[in-house]
Amino acid sequence: MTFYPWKDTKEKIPLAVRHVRTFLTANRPA
Amino acid sequence: MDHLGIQRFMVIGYCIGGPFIWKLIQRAPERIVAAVVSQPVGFRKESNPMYDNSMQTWGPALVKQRPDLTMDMIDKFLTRMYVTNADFVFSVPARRRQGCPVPVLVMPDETPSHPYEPALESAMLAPKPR
Repeated sequence: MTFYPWKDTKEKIPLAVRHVRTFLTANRPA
Repeated sequence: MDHLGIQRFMVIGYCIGGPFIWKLIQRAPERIVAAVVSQPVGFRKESNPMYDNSMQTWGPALVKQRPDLTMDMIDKFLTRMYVTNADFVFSVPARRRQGCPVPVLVMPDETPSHPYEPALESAMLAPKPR
């Protein structure tokens, strides 16, 4: 919820993408 | 989505995409599986630069591209959205969003146009906030 990859280093962007992907995967309908 | 024949879907939005997503959830919650709101715009009484920024940036650019639009029309739209009815996430009042049934991931920012407080408030109204 409090994640600022755009204010951090470029290397953190994949972390944000992974965070979003994990969230969406967890909420994917069965 | 109707045109594409897609009934239920996930949605991701950045900046002004936040208000679009909240409105979508209000209007068709049964169709949104989950939503991600990244660096959303929001209303903060102490600082609300959305009207001025829009009038100076995308407003004139849009009028240049679209001869059917005028700056007067842009002004009316922006005044209604960002001044007269300014509240919370602009598109949906905070009180209307209580009981939001859709899982939402909010990734807030902290800039004048993307204030932290309304982003956090909206996240706390989503189901199972953490």
